[in-house]
Amino acid sequence: MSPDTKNGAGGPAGTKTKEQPREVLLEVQDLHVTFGKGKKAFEAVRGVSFQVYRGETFGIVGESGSGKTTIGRAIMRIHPTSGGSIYYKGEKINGKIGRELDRRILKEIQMIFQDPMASLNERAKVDYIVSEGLMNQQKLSEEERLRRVRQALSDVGLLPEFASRFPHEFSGGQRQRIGIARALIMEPECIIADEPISALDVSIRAQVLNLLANLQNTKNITYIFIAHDLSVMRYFTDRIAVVHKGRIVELGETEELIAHAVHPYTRALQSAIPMPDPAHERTKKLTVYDPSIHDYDVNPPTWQEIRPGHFVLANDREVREGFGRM
Amino acid sequence: MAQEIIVSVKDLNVKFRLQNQELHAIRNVSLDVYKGESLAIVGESGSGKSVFTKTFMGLLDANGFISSGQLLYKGQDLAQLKKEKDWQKIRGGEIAMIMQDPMTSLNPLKSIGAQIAEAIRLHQDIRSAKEVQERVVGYLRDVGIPEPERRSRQFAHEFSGGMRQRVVIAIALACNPKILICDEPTTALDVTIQAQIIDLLKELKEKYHLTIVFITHDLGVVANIADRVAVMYAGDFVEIGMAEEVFYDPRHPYTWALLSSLPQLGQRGEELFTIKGTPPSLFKKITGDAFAPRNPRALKIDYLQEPPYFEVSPTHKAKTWLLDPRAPKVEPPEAIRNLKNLEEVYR
Repeated sequence: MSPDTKNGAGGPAGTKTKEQPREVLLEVQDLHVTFGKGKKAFEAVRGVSFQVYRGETFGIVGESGSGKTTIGRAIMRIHPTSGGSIYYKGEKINGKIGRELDRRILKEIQMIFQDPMASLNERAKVDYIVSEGLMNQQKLSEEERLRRVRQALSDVGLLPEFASRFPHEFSGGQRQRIGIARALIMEPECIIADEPISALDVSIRAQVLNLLANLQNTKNITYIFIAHDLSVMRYFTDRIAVVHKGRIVELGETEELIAHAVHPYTRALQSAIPMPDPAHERTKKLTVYDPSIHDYDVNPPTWQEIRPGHFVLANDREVREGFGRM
Repeated sequence: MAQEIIVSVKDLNVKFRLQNQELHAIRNVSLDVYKGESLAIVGESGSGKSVFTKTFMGLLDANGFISSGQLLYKGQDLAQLKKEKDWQKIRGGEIAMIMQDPMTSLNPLKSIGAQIAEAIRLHQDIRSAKEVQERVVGYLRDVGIPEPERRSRQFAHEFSGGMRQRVVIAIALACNPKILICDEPTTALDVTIQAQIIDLLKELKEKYHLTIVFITHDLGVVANIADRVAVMYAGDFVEIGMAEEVFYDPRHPYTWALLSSLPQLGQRGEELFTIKGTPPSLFKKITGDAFAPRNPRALKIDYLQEPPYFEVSPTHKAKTWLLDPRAPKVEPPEAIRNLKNLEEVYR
């Protein structure tokens, strides 16, 4: 693909041009999240900072246990933070906040969950599932509520008559669409999508990704897209943060990061991408990340910009020697 | 080909009884599995790929049955086995299976060493406790679990998802099987762990002289491990060939569609290819090519008559009228014509 198709209309990479000053919608500063207390305390997120611009898709990639989901949940105020700040439109939204702000955030930031089999109330009808959040926020006439539900369902490509059915009547892909409708009905500005396609079949994955891209283009929604698979990230996101053990180790614009990944962990994720190419796959050497290659005891790492907009967590020696590229 | 056949499936039909209706899950399928190969069976949810392999082990649900056909293994027709006792001679010792979710396939109340030892005692002629324990440690080491002596005394909850799948593989190995069926063994795992498990399976296949049948919905995953690929749709194999043939020269429109919808091939700013519609209901009789209603370029005959297999090469065949000499020329989609140079996109 030629580089200039990137700003073409109609797709997930979207409609931004570089010249426009980008508006920061969400800012995370030195975020810490700790589970448990005292001796048993476990710090899942250890000093994470990033900014998310309005209208972009910001990817957070890492393995299970890296803390990527915890970051998303901390933004949603599901997990309390133990340090640092989260700003949304310039206002601090972690810790103690006012009632009014809390209501606004509940409406404007929505979440889509990984497993559509587990994230829908089995005993409620689609109608209720989709409009529950809305009814908590505002009093609507029954007529208006039903209109909004039908609209949300048709936005995600489901038939409005599905409103009267139960979740078990739907396939995995349809259930995930219901989960997306539940987020959309709130007219959010930002959606945190936590592995929204990992539990789906390949052919359904493509449908859900296309749907999310279209919604972004028509409604100008900002996405924080959490996944473990760098190949999906390459296709879907504008910028990527690579998280390992609660720290961001590398961050940059998607194409830059994929083309010039320097951190050994990012390179390990890259080498694990399964390619539909037998000749290449059979000869490929899997890179496994071994944190003991760092000499951080004597020479601690800092956050360094190695190319414009491309940051990596490394010490001076590593930057100089380019991690002794494998 | 001079390869030895280990399992031969002939005209197999599997049906399920559901509320006075019959669901035709496997529709007249024939397939040979060669000794020592790794064969990948690829298809969407509901295509019948798991049902197909469950018949190898007599693990169909109570309302499922083989309505006709043969399943020949070592001269014995497995389709005729009725008694649990007969099946127990096949299960584990001859054909073993790894399930999708390592979180649910281990016993939470027994140490993993005890679970492996159980398989060894059942399937291998070893009695001394010391020797069994040595074997347990050996299998754990073979599947890449560090500190195997200590880990063998631990329980399932003390292992991560990837490590649990390694334990499940160790239990399967302890049965000393000839054939290992892997049913989506990496779907619940991270990409990095998935790649490691696939490397491990390849290594073990050589060491233990296994024949591997690998089931997945993701064509991207099988390029690494598969010698041969069989694509299943609506209970039938629509294309079978060597991995190179299926990836570099796919012939069936359904294979094209599966490959095209991979996010790995997606171009930023463009829509991903999707397969329109849903798979056909297997309660009804299917006429013609089962994929025709979802194939935007289906021919008229696709709706009328079921295509036979057309041979592309001695190892490659596909069930599509496009291969008939009278068919119009239809090219595969642009995106999948050049899979050989794909890695350049990433590096």
